Formats: sequence, C-alpha cells, structure tokens
Amino acid sequence: MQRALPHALMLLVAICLYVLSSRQIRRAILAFAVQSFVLAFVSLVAATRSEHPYELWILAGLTIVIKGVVVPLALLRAVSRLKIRHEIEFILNIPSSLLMAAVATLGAFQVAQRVFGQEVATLRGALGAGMATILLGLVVMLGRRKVITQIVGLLIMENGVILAALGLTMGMPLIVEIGVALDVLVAVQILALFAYRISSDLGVGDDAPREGEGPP
Amino acid sequence: MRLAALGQLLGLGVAGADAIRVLATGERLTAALPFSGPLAPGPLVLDPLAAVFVVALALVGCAVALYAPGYLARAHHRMSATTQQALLLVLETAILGVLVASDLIGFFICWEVMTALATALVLADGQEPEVKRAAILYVAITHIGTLAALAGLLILSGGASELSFDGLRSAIGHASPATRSVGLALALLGFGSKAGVVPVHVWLPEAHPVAPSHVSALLSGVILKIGIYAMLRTCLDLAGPPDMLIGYTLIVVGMVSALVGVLYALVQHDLKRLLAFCSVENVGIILLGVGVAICARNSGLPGLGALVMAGALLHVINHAVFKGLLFLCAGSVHLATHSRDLEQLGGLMRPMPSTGRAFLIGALAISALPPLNGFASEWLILQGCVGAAHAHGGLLRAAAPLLAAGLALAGALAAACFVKAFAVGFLALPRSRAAENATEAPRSLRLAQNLLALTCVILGLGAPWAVAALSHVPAALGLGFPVIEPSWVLGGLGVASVSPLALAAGGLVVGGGVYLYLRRTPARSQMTWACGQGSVEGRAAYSASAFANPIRRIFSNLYRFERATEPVEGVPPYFVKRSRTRGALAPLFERYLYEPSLRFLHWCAAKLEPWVSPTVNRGLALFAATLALLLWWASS
Amino acid sequence: MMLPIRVALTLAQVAVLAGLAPLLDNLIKTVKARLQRRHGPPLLQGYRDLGKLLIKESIHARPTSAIFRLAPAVSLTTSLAAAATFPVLASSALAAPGDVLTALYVLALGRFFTALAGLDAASAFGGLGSSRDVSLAALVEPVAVVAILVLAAGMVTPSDGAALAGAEADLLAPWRLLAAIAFFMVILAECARVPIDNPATHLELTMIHEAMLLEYSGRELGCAILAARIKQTVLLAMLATIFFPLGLGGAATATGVALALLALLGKLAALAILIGVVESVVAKLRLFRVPDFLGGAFGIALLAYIAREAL
Repeated sequence: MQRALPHALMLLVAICLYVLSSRQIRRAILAFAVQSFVLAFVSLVAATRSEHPYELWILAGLTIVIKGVVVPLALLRAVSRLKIRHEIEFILNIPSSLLMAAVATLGAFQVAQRVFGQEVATLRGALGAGMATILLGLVVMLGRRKVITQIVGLLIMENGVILAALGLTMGMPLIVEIGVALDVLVAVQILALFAYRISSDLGVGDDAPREGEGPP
Repeated sequence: MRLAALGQLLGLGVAGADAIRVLATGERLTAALPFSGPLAPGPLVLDPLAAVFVVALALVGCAVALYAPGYLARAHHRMSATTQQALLLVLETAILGVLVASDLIGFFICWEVMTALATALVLADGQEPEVKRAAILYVAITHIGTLAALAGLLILSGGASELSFDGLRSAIGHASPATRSVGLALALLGFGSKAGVVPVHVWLPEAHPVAPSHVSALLSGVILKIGIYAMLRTCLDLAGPPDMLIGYTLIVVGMVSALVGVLYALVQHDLKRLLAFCSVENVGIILLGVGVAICARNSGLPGLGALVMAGALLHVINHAVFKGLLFLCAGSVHLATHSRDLEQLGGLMRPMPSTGRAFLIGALAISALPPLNGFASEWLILQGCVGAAHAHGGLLRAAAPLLAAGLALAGALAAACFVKAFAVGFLALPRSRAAENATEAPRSLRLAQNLLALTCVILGLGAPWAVAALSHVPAALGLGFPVIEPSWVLGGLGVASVSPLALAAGGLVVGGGVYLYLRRTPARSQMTWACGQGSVEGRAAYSASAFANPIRRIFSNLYRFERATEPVEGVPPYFVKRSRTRGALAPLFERYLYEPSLRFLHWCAAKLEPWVSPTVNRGLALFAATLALLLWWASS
Repeated sequence: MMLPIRVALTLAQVAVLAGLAPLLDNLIKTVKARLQRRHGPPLLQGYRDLGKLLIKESIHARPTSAIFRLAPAVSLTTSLAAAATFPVLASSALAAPGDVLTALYVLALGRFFTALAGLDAASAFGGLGSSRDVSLAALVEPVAVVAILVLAAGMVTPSDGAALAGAEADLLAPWRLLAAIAFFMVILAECARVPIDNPATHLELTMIHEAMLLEYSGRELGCAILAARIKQTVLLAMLATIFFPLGLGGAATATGVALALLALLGKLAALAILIGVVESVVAKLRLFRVPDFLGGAFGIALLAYIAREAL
C-alpha cells in the first residue's frame, strides 16, 4: 500500500488531465468519482502513518460516500434530467488547455518543493499533487462553458484542497472538519449555482444549436 | 567585375584561413593600424569568438563571389552589375571590420557602413513600393536598434572615457547591478533587432526576399549572425561572467523566435520569404543554445555548457552555409522561371537537376537530418536541453522537458516546411508555363551551389572535429568552459555520443545495396492514376497552401487566419453570382505591438504640438534652452 | 569487449529486429482477427506477402523524379540504422556509440523522403498523405523526446542507448509507467495505428501512411512496406528494452544473449497483443482530433517527468 502512494498521486493528477481532454460530461463526472476513490485511498495510506488514524478513516469514508457516490450520482441525474447537450462546450480547446495544465502542474510542484520543502511535507509529493489538482480544477472551470462541467472543476479543486492538506498537516482533527465543511459548502454551492444559473444557461439547454456553434 | 570577384575570393580566403588558425590554436591575432589619433580606431583583433563569424563570412562570401558575376549578368537589375559588385566588396570589408574591431568607434563605424550598404543592395532591383517599404522598415528598425545598443553600451561603460573593449570590460566590472542590467537589456534588444529575434524581426521577411538572391544569402547567412556576434560579445565577453537571468532571457527569446519563425515559414508560399522566416527560427535556435549553455555553466555543468555552446557556434556556421545555399538555389530558380511563388513552380527537378540536388541537400541540412551539418549542431543543442534535467538550478531543471519539446517541435516543423518547399518547387509536374520552360543555371552558379552543398556534407561528417575546434571559443572567454578533445564521435562530457561518420558509412553501404537491388530490373513507367480521369496535371497536385493547411488548422490559435468574401457580380447580399474570397494571416506583431506604439508616439507628438509648432522661433527657443541645459550639465 | 564481437552482435540485433518485423505485424493482425472471431492470416503470411512483392517488377508514375526511386531505399536504410542505436541483446554490444534521440532523427530522415515521394507523383492522394504525415510528426516528436528525457534524467550520459538499457531500475515506478504510456501513444501515431490512421484500409479519407505509398508497386512497394514494419518493430523494441530494461545482460555471454532474446520476444509479443486489443476497442479519431490525443500524450509525458522529480 505504501509503495502504491506515488502511483496514486500521479493517478490523481492524470485523472484531471483526462477530465480536461474528455468531450463527454458523463465521462468527466465518472472520472471525478474515480478520483475521489483514489483520494480516499491516499488518506488511508496517510492513516497508516498517522498518530490519529481514525480521523483519516472517517475522512476516507466520507470521501467515498459523498464524493465518490452521492455527488456523482446526483450530477449524472442532473445531466439526464436537464436534457442539456451531452458534449462539453469548450472555451479553450483541448490542446491549449492541456498545455496550460502541463505548465500549471510543473509550476505547482516547483512551488510546493521550493516554498514548503521536502521535509515539511509528511506525505512526499502529496502537497504538490494537491496544488496541481487545485490548479487543474481551475483550468477545467476556466475553459468550459456549461455549469455542470464547472461544478466538476470545482469538485476537483476541492479534492485538491484535501490532498494538499493531507500533504501538509497529516492527522490533524481539523482536516476532517475542513473536509466535511468543504463538502457541505460544495453541496450548497452546487445547489446555489443550479438555482442561480438554471434560467440563464441551462434553461435554454436544449439540443438546438446556437449562434457560434457547430452543427449539432 | 571579374576583378571584384577575384578580390573577394582572395580577401575572404585569407581571412578565413586566419580565422581557422585562430580557432585551431585558440590564440588571438592582433594587427595595429598604421595611423593613430584621438578618435582613430584601436588595433584590429581577431579572437576565437570573432573567428567563428569570420569563417561563416568566408564560406558564404566565397560562394557569393563565385555566384554574383553570372547572376548579375543575367538578372538585369536597375543598379549596374559593376556598382553592385563594388558595393558587395565594401560590404564584406565592413563586416570584417565589425568582427575585428577592438573598440566602440571602429565597431560602430563599420556597423553603420554595413547597414547602409546592405540597404543599398536591397534596393538594387526595382523601385516597387514594397521594395522601398522593406528598405525603409529595415533602416528604421535596425537604426533604432543601433541607437539602443549604443546607449546600452555607453550606460554599461558608466561614463568612462575609455572606448576600447578592454576599457569597457573593466568599466563594466565596476558598474552597479542596476546599471548593468539596464545597459545589457538595451544592448541585447538593440543588437537583437539586427539579428532578427522576435518581436523585432518584422523587417526581416520584408527585406530579405526583395534583395538580389546572392545578397539575400549574405544578409540571411552572415549579417544576421553579426547581430548575434554583437549579442555574444556583449553578454559573454564585455559584461563579464553572464548570470542566470541572461541565460533565461536568451532561452525565452530564442524559443519564441524559433517557434514563431518556423510557424510563419510554414505558411509562406513565396520561396524566399519562407527562407527568411526560417532564418528567424535558426537565429532563435542559436540563442536558445547559448542560453542553455550559460545556464548549464551557472548550475554546475561546465562540460555540458561547453558542448552546447560549441553546438550553438557550429549552428552559426552551419546556418550561414545552408541558408546561403538555399538562397542561391532560390536565385537560380528565380532566374530560370522569373517567379518566387511556389504555386507557380513545380517539376523543376527535371530541367534543373543540379540546382535541385543542391537545394535538396540544403533542405535536408536545415531540417537537421543526419548526417548533414544541421543535424550535428541541433542534436548538440537538444542534448543540452535533455542534459539540463541534471542541473542544480530549480528553474532550468523544471523547464528542461519544455525546452526539449519546444526544440523538437521546431525541428519537426522545419522538416515539414522544407518537405513542402522542395516537393512543391522541384517535384511532380510544372504548375506554370514558366516552370515548364525553365533551364538549368549556368555553370558558375552551379559551382557556387555545389561548393556550399559540399560544405554542408563535410561539416556534417566532420562535426566532431569542428566542435572540438569551436570549443576553444568559450574556453578562451575565461568563463570556466573546458576545451573538448577532438575525437571521432560527437558528444561525450555528460551527453550521449553519436558518430556521424559511422552513421553515414553504414547508411551508404546498406542504402546503396538496397538501391542497387531495386534498380536491378528496369521499371516500366505509367501515368499516375487519376481516378480514371485521364492523366494528372500540375495544377491538380497538392499546392503549397494545401500542404500547410493541417498545421495551419492545428495551430489556428496562433495564426489568426482572416478570411474576407466580397461579392464581385450580382446584387448582394442574396443574389451574388460571383464572389471573391481572400484569406491572409493577420499581421499580429504589426497590429498588436507596432501600431499601438506608433499610435502612442503620435499621441505624444500631438500633446507636444502646442509647445513646439506655432512658430519656428518658439521651436528654436526650446532647442536653445535644451542646449543650454546640456552644456550646464556637461560642465558641472 | 572486442570490436569484431560487438560488430557481429550489432549486425545480429539488426537482423533479429528486421526479421521479426513481418511476424510482429502479422501477430497484431491475428489478435485483431481473433477478437472479431475470425481466424486471421496464417502466422507467416507477412513474409509471404513481402517475398512476393520483393521479386515483382516496379512501375513508376511518369511525373516522378529520382527522389521517388530513392525513397524506399532511404526509408529502409533509416529503419535499419535506427535498429542499431540501442542494444537489445547485451547492454554493451553496440559497434558504434548509439543514442536513442539520434534514432528519432534518423527515422525523421526516412519520413522526409517518404513524404517527398508521396508528393512526387503529382497525385492529390500522395500529397494528402504527405501533408498529414509531416504535420502529425511535428506533434509526435516533442512527446517522444520528453518521454526519453524522463528516462534519461537520472543518467550520467542521458539518452545513450547502452546506458539506458543497462540501468538498474524500479520497473514499476510511476514515472516509468507514465513515460511508457506516453511512448506507446507515440508509437501508435508513428506507426499509423488505429486511433490515428487505419493500416487496414485504403479509403482515401482516413489514410495517412498508405496514401504516400499509393503510387508504389512491386519491389519498391515491398521495400517501403518492409521499412514501415521494421520501424514499428524498432520502436516497440525501444519501448521494451529502454523503458523496461529487464532481462538484458551486461556482457555478451551466450546464455545472456539467449535470455535477452527470449525476454525481447516475450515483451514484443505482449506489446503486439496490446496493440491488437487497442485497435479493436478504440475508434479511429478524426484528423483534427489527433492533436487532442497527442496533447494528452504530452501531458502524460510531462507528468512522468514531474513524478520522477517530485516523488
């Protein structure tokens, strides 16, 4: 399990890249669910090294239940019920956003290494991976048009926050609280975004092409 | 006319021999001038750094001297052939003067003479508005650049009265960091405008294509390199040990120039314009190499730095040779077909086999394909980028994959560009009557081309020894770069090694065998299959624009292709019978950099106008006041 | 080691890779056929096809020049030369110093000539193939270089074939896996495999590599096809030995070479099966979606570098 930690961290970042390069909303949501499972795995690994493993177990459980299952299911339901176009609409095209993502990832790891140093970080590389995940989530939010994709970006960012926190201060009771609080926050934000923009963007979310788009 | 050519050959031959001696031994040559005085230039010094550029000049200059008489006799330019030859001779002397000057006075006098003569030669053919515009653009930008460079060097000297390079060196040693960086930035920007680095490159693709072809060869092959020489002289020699910041600056500038240059080269269909943009790319690659070398040295990898620096300097010579070759071939094509437009060419391999072969060798070399010379230098620079992953410095280490990827991208795009240039120009069927009736270039022209093509091959196979000789240059600068021992393989010192000779020999044996087997039985020939529609014609084959289309679409974010459709016949908007569509790349640098700065200048002028313009007297009063102020400042 | 032995081993390695090339391609076809519940070609069909082509007469298109005649020989030579840039039988068994990056340059020479030949016949199909091929190559090259750089980052002599193949390594390190994935995507693109190109059809709207060879016939066609097969085998062998240096002995003893050969065969077979499966389950991409694919590969390669540096 310990040996698989670097693989898991890389998988977390790679999933972000996958979300960035996928054209289907469903796939992006599923990828986010997988990412949450991997994050839970990372917190379990952290638990084996922590003095208070129970809190990290709770964190892992919460991550799996809320972000691995409940939120993705809700989003998938929303996608099918809102009858929006299932293709992701891009503001930045895929190669550009991938290039941005690559540079952002390099930068995140550099900053993590330079500012905090290796010895502070308790899980080697987790801080950098977390910061990279945050930035990549941001790229997802920046480069995509639909609210649902932006929510996926936000959730990815939130995964990144938890990962970075794991990397910095492992085993603090605070982590669990922050995790839960952020989850709640995210849930509220999802609802808020839905309520706020449902008329402005999703309300016209039928299959008809609008100006400036290609053929359906 | 013959006399001028002979003079060029002799002079350049002697200079080249001297330069090779300097490179082989690593010692400098000095010659005092016969006159002296307060403002007379100092002694002439040929040190290893200058010797590299003298070699480039000698190689291209000799070929140009061989090429020019035959070309000028057939080209019928507005300016007489004799005048052009004389100007060319003086121009080459001025270039030599820049390289051997040992103080600012001699340097800048020769520099200005060089610019003026180059402009005159650009104007040698034709009075068309675009030629004039190109010349004015060239003069304006390089003059502003020269001014900036002069100001930068004077700032660096810190008001010291000593104008010799030795004096400058010690004065810069005492300069404060702020002065040093401001002066360096100005000098690099100024000299960079002469070298054609992005974004001060806009004059280059205008001026180089309209000049006579042998002058283009000299402009692209050598005079751009003089800009690089001045940059290297400033930041490696005069300003002492270069710091990381200079290295990073050169890397960024070089990378941007390389990519912008090659991307724009790809979408040109004027052959000489394509070559001109490609010069921007190669200048970028050279600067990238120098930057990587500086950074490698500063992060504890002097061996790698020496290799990459030698690679960059080799690329200086290489680019001079193959770009000279390609421009000479383009000149022969122009003579034969009166066209530079690739869409009007095609099938030239049949009537012009010798020129075609020479162009192919040049194209292979510039695409960095083994075992020709471009491969050796670009491979070394790529090894530098890969080896940078070993650096202790954080930023260089982190950027290593991006550098390597960028260089690989530029190289592959250059290959695509020259597949297009060669295939559309020389292969398949002619696309116009002119291309159909083309004839091979006369013997003296072919001789010049073959000479340069042969140099490409020799420099490619002998690259390991060339690199060993060129490593004297960074070693002589006293920056801690080691000298590389001559050996039969290229590389070593912390990078992988490769032997161009072994590659070429093995390839020749195997390839020759395969080729002989394939040719053993005579082949029948049949018309190309044209989907059952009879036979193919030249105009139906892939055109230059069509060839570049995938890349134009893939990088559409960078190109900003603009298309406008206007009705020609009928009643717009609904009953148009015929319409014309025109597409062009948006001139990004002109639109977003130069026009705003011009507008700003005009705005400033408009703001100042009430102060200056009403009467001549008031203007003169301002002038007098400024003069008084300056005098007061100078005396205090 | 003595020079004659090294020369002999280098020649043997080139012969092995070249000899395996038709078999490997045939294996991919068989895997695809089995996944479609067909029998597929017999195991040695690849050799028979090539053998037949190589003794047949060539017919040239009339507008072509010497380039057209030269191109198959050049591309075959470059494929063979690339096979000699990294060791597969024993890590110290190269006659001349080999460099993996040089292999990319050498292969680029072959591509240059193939692309020229595609344009030489004045047919629009050939031009289409050439144009697409060099455009995609421009995107493939950076990915390949970065993937190799990731491996080379820990080496005293980066990108040296012998050093890379002889390295002691943690075979399952995340950076190694990521770099291998990126390089595998490179191979799919370089060898005209399914998400990029379809090797099984001549439909003009999908083809890239085949379009360039359209005007070739007889022994020249055989030569060009053999060159492409060998290039594919060389790249796969590179993936197998450089990215997973397992089973390669340092000195060239008889048992060492035999073991290395066995390991190579096993790894190549596994890769061929992998390609067959990928080709069966993945749909071909539209041409202008290919940059997305290669952008992803570039991202993975960079991620591999980060994993190597930071974990």
